[in-house]
Amino acid sequence: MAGTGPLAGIRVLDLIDGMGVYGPRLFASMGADVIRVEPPGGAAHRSREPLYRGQPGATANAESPSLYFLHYNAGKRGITLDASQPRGRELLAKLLGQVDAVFDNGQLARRGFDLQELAAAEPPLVVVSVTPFGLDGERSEWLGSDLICQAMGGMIQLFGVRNERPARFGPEQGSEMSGLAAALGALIALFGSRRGNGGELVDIAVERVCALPTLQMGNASLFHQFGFRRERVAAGMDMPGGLYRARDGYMTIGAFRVRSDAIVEVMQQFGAGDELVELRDRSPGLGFIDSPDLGGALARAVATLPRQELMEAIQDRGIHALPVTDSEQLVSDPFLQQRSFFVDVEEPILGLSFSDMAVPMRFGASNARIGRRPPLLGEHNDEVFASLGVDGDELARLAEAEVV
Amino acid sequence: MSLPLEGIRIVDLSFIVAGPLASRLLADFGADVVRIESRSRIDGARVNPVRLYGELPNDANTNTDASGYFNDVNAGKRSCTLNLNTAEGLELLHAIVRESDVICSNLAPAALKRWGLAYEDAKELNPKIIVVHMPTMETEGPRSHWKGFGDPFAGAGGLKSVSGHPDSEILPFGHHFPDFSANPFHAAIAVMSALHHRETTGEGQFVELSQYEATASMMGASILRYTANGEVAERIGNRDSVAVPHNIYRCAGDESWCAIAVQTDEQWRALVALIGAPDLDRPDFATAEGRRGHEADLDALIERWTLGWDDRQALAETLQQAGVPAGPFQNIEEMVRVDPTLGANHFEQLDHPVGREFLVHRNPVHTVRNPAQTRLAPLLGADTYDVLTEVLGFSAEEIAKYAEAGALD
Repeated sequence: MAGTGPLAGIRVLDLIDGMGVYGPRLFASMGADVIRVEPPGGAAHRSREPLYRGQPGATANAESPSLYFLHYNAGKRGITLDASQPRGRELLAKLLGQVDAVFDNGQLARRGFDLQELAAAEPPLVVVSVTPFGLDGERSEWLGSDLICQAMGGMIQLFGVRNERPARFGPEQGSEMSGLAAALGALIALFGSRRGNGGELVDIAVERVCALPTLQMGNASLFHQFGFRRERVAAGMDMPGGLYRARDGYMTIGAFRVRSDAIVEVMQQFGAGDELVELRDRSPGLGFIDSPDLGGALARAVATLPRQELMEAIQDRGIHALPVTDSEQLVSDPFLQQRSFFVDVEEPILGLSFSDMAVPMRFGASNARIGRRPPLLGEHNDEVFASLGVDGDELARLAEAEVV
Repeated sequence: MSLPLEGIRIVDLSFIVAGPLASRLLADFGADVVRIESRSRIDGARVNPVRLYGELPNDANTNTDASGYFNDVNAGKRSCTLNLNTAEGLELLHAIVRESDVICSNLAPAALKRWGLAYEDAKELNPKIIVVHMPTMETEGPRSHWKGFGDPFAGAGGLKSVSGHPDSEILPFGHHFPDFSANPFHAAIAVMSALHHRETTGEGQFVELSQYEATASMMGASILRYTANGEVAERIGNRDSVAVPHNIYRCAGDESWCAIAVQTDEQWRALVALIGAPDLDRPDFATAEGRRGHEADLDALIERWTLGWDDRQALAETLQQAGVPAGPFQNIEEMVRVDPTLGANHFEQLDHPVGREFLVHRNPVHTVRNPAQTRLAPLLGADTYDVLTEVLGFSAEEIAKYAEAGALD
């Protein structure tokens, strides 16, 4: 079944079982035919937490399958293949000749494929490699992870307070961003290939992707000689601005200096502006905005008010105000529900449906949606291997020999 | 071999970071990205105080070409300054749209409407046009006027609820993280996907990318965890569902740390052998299951050892040599001068006409056979004449006529 969406007609092999897994998910949810290749024993991601009703540290099983696998594999077909065996490797090579792109975490090189050669082959193939430190250079052999790449790429410098233990951006933002970079690279290279450029090798180094958010610091640190320091307000928001706790949850208010009057008006509208008005009368003009008492006064006013109504009133005056949410609040947000941001996906082992995020791009002409549930292990072996000329008898022999 | 996006023209109606970075990711691959700008309403990024040279110059608020920030997120584009408050200025903008493939914008929906570039109008000008719009919340509807930007999006999209230590307060995401990750990448992917659709079907289209939704999309499996299990994902610091121990460990010295991620029992044995502490070499710690639940004790024992290292680079090197995944917490200086993956591969040094040499991030999408090119960002209005002559085929006389009517800015 071909998917619907802007990438309908594009065929992709997905060998990712580590970082960058969001890339092939994006392809699958935008209509590409994505074939997830797993070892006969199943991908590591099939047992990755969170598990359905699983205690932390529990093992995935038929009653408790991986929700991680469900999230990242909805919309794909699935086959099993042991490429460490000669016939398995041969079949993988054949498959590579039939698809437009392959996403890989190093499995191809381990099976003796030369990525440069694959990318130079005819018909053209776009090889997308996601590794911690890229394919070249003295650290390309280093072992990495999301945490390590966030630390080395400088991303972790952007979060937290100097000399307090750094914490990573969750969930696995280095890996998630690398999935975005992998998808973008694949799309650009595929576009070139449609225009006669041939294949391409897209080398996504997670560490390099993690360094992009340091963009603003680069020139500052190197040429201004003022070293970047982790500090509480690294984001540098004008006062009044920043984080506030409303009656029923946290929110951010970004009132920039010139709009402080409007903030006071909103608080008055809610009958909570007395302290702010008094402060303004005491220290007019910039004195008000620079007053050390302003943050506290605003925080006290906000604390008494309902978040949703307050946000709407502030936004109506042209000032930014957004909630600080968690997964429960996102799922319960009427705005997201009304926009169908959440869709039902079926977990194939349990046969139950759960609500998950759809792709955030809304394509006017090409409805992108998750077209099928994730594959059971080896679910599409018959149809995919038949297309390679493997008949039922051989498939049975291959299964016997644990090649598929 | 030409760059893959050569011949694709993008009208860039975007400002600050999230929008400009989206089209910049494509400019490096050969797209002709034409920024439509104005001298009376300067893009705030042009005067961002991260300057290209020296100490903050006293022209920080007036020199529109010297921001390191702007010059990075707009590398490889052209700048065309038009006065869109004049009918003639709008006429020029519409003429450019007729000769373009894509409009990419993070402006308020009202601005696009005012300029006659809401999708229905843009389609009249150019039936094959692709419009990718990045509103805060939505392009049409009661929240179409809402404002937002990077760090608050990280809160709205849920990312702050799963970042930081378990007992931590809600902290800012420095440098407006979503402006450099979820939002520009999803937007660039939207442009490319719509270009593929157009290549297949001949159709242009409107693509809406709500930045609120784009940021929330980075929540991974946390949403299913709530909808299937009723569990709200919380801050777990540096803990991991597979690797244990897994943390950032203090080394000797100021703000000195090293990340260690033990993903297999073999790596654990290598770490234990390296540290040589009998407290760690226990049979019940030999497996991940045995180690889980004892993270705090293990972390304390490991940190006792890492505190003996004053060179975090050497520590990471030693761990890697022993087969233990590890990496130093690197500051910008180390990223550029020490790290071979980053360093010269990551930044390109360019000479800028108004300042001095400076560093521009290379595209994080590295294509080996046909690499992206890192080029200078435009001076304000530097390409107005070229765009009008090359793209619109105007003569000097025609341009003079528009200039007289106040269409150029």
